[in-house]
Amino acid sequence: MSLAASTSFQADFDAILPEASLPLAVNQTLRLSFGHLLLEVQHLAFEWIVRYAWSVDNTGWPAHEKELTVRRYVFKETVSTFSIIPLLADRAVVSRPLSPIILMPGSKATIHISTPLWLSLQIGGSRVLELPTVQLSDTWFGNKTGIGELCYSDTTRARLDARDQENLYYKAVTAILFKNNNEKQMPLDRINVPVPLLALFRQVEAKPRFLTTAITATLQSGDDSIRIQLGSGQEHEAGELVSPARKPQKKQLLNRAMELFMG
Amino acid sequence: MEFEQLLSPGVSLGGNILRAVILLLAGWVTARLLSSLSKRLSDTLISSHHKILLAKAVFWGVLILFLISSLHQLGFKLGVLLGTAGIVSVALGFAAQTSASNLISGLFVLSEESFKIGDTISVAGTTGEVLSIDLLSVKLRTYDNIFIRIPNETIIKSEVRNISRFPIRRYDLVVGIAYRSDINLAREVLLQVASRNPLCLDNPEPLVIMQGFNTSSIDIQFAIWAAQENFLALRNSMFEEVKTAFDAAGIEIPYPHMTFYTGADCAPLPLQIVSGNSGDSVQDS
Repeated sequence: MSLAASTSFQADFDAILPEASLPLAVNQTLRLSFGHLLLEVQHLAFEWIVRYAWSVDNTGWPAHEKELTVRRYVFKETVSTFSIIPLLADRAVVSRPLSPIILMPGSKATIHISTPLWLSLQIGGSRVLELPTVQLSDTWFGNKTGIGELCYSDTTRARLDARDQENLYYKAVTAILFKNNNEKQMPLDRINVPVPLLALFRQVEAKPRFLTTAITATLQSGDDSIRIQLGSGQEHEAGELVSPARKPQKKQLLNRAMELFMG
Repeated sequence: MEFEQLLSPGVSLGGNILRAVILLLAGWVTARLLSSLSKRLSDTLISSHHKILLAKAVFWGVLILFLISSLHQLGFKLGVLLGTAGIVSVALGFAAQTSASNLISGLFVLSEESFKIGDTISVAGTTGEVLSIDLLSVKLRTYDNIFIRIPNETIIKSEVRNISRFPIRRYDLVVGIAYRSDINLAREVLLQVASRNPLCLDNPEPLVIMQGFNTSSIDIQFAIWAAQENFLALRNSMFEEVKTAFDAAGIEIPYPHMTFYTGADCAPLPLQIVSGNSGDSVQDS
């Protein structure tokens, strides 16, 4: 997280937590960067101005105002604090391993996939804006162009060992346990991570990081359907809840056709 | 047939008129009430399209029932009345063939569900958002905010293109490159442009299709997909991004040009260019 020289406050990893209420006095400005997102929050009397842009190649703060998106929020009273709450993406993220993975019959493996966080900017307790830390490309997930789901697209290294996972504070890691109970190979070319159904947790260790509800995906024997189980029941031990699932599911078990989970 | 013959014997008009009018008014209120209630049915139970159809059927069904009761209250013989109504409707059918055709077409349009309110359709050269689907016509609002009424008969007879039916849509950008430009490089540049644009879907994959050798250029079809709501933004951004990327890669988008053939010997044109001030002219040698 970088901070512009003109700002008055230091922010760190804890800035993106629900309980972190950042003070900003009138006529002060704070610049923050999370992943590719560049964010400037300016506090004026009864008014907050938010400017933001995304920089893929880390070229820094845009030189021209017109490259920024500007939003002005007017309040009845002067509010002196704001907070930035991390969330998971508002649509499922289709993650494509850099190299295709094939799970052999009877095998199982846990693959760790990281997806970028969305940040909800709240001023005086009111949610004003929600922005992704990385602008993901859209993708269509479905065999037919008329039947499927509009998702975000991302690539993943699909690491098998969680300890190898790159610790990026603007990404959350989802552990997916794949079980192949079928007689044929289970190709993992594109994996649909249903992040709106997952909760976000913060693991407090030497290196804090964000985790999501774990997923177990079992390729059934005999047919091509995948049984998806959300949650391993151990997330609460691993970390504290940061934000609940956007679309809570009553049933933790889902049955999907194979192509609806793995393209 | 005399008017009195339609009435049941022993029935006087005077005392029952008030009751008939009250019945008719009550019928109108009940029909409106039940019609609006049917519109409030959950979207999970019935589509909005069918809700409109149901609301209309409920309204007219209830109103006709009350109308019949009202006429009965006045002492009309319903058997004779319905017989007369049959003859009248045949006569009206001949007199109002177009309306009848539109009415029947309207039932097909409503039951077929080719489009619903809010969809963007293109029919008989008109493109617009569907405002309402009625028994006689479909009302559209065009992109330039003009209200268009299209008779249902036209809808049934014409090709209807529902532009917003599916969540994603393909845009085909046709661009020509000069014959001296590298085709493989052009393909690579186009795919890079698509991968850099977050609105462009990576699945279905962008396609680069060679269309043919044109008079001045090699034509390439660049087929890219976007979510329905981002279609216009993608279309607009692609022109700029493709031009910028081609310029950066040294790929020429040629103007139409013509080669002069000066005769059987193909001798070059006898021209001499004199360089110098802008006022200098080109002179024949």
